[in-house]
Amino acid sequence: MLGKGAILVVFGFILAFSMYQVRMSSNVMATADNFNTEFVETMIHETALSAMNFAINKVWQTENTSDSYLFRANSCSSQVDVFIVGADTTQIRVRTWGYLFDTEMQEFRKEERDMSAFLAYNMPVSKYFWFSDDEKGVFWITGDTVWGPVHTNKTIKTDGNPVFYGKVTAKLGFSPDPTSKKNEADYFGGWEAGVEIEIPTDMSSLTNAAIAGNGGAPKNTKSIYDKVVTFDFQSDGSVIRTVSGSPPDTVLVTDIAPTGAIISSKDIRVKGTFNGNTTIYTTGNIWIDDDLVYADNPKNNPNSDDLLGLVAKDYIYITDNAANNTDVHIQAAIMSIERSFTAQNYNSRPIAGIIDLTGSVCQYHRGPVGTFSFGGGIHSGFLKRYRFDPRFSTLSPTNFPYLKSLRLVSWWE
Amino acid sequence: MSIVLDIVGGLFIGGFLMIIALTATDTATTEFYNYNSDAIIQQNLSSMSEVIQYDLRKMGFGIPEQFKSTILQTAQPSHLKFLAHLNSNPICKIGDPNVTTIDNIVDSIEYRVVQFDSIDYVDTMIVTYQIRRDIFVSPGYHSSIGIGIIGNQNAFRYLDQIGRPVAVINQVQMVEVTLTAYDPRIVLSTDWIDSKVNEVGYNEEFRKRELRRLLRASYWRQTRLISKNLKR
Repeated sequence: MLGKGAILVVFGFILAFSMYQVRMSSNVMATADNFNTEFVETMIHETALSAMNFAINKVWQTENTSDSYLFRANSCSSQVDVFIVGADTTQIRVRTWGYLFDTEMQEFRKEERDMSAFLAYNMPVSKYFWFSDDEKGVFWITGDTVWGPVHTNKTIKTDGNPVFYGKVTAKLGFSPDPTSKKNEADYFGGWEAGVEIEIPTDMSSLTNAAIAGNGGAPKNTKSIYDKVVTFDFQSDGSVIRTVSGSPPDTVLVTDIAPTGAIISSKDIRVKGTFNGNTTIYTTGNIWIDDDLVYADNPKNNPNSDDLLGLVAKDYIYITDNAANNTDVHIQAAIMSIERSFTAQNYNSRPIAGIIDLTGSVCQYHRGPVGTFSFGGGIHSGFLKRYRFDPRFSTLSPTNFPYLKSLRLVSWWE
Repeated sequence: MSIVLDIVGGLFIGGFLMIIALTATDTATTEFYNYNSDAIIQQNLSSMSEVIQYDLRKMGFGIPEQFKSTILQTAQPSHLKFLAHLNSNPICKIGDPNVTTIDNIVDSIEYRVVQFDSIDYVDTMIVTYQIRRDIFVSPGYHSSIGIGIIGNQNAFRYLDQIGRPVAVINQVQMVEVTLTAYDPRIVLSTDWIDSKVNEVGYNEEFRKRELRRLLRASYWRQTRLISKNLKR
């Protein structure tokens, strides 16, 4: 009797504990399932990102804006579709899927993820507050406060605590590295190394606009010049124009540049109060002889519609003259394709106050505007007070050159 | 006599086995309860995290670069609000079946961590919080739901590119989400806690120590999310 009872009890225990074991196992399985689900979903996401990176790289290299292919990685599949959705916008859509074993249903379940990137190529150079191919080793130092994006194809060097509010990109990186303890610079808009953007050299669009605007008129009378010309802009939208060897005349900017473009093969001299929307381009130098400001100051009126672009293949000089030796005020988007924006005789001219610039500066080499010594102050030329014209975030002077660089417009996932 | 001995022996052994069985059952039930609660908590945290990731990855979608500084509308430790286009085209549309319209009007998502419940242990108060998720999609869709209960009020941290906390909203490049959950026993079984913290009779020091030990066993999950639209 005792033996039978004991056997029954033992079997009872086995049954009871087996049931508990099953229930315990289901909990352990549930925990493992959670982990597996997380793992598979992470894999799908990582695969989608990989496919997107691959696709963006392919678009960047081939400039192909219509494509479709399958991408496989991490035991997941991705369908990549590339197509145009706007004049300058390409969409890359990645649909990634993988399979997860559903323990409740005892079957594989398809998990999907959708990701889209919108990319654009063209961007006005003026969108950068500061763009240089080579910074020539010049440091951004304590006291420099920079609004707007900054880019160089060399290295951004900082000393002390300059503050950048826009994104800073540099092909060869940063010195000191923003992550190092030596770095004191503030990159509030973020930073990125390894980004190369070439200064545009193709001015055919600007030239064609000027040719169209010139409409067959003789050179030096309208939009095309082959003699040195001086433009003294007037706030009413006119300009006192002096073509070398001819007496000055007063014309409307809109009459001589109906398409918003003026081109020249010789030097151009500018000053005055500009009212209009035009880009001036020369294969020579541009000389800023005196203050050059907008009739409707964007500092006071953010909706000002005055926009001036100055593009020179060679230098853009701040002339060494009496007018410029007690501060100079400049409001324009400035671009020197092969040289610099600089002050004439920067190392021998007198101390000339400040350059109060509102706009953007693009130059091949960063040009000096004065000399100074650390702790000793300025010796010659100018101090700088440069401000990004916030309108350039969305606008640019008519016909101002564009950078061709693939950039992210928006990202969906 | 032998029958009596058999009965007595049987009762003794049976009783002994019964005590073992009851103890084992009790232990097994407790362990099952714990494992089950752990699994549920883990699953809840995972689900919450998934929902938050799903939303935060859309942060700033369709907002032009020049208006990047407006993407984050509110960036507080327990309150996050941001802009995004959530129904700008059929491919890039939020996965909510109630959102059926397509337009080009900016939408917003808001997360708030609000107090949910509190458990009083005389000398310690444990507060739990609910994560509220509000979605506003043009022209007039509004959804407000609680996505889960957590143990921390400060769920969001705002970081720069290299993970340093920032104080100014337009310097934010990354959002760190921290979700903690108490050991389920802490929240669900005040009796168990009481029995634990009063194990040696009422002793203030022991209670504090024991409560700290029990609270340390809480679970947490942390995710750093980088919105590519913030990093443009």
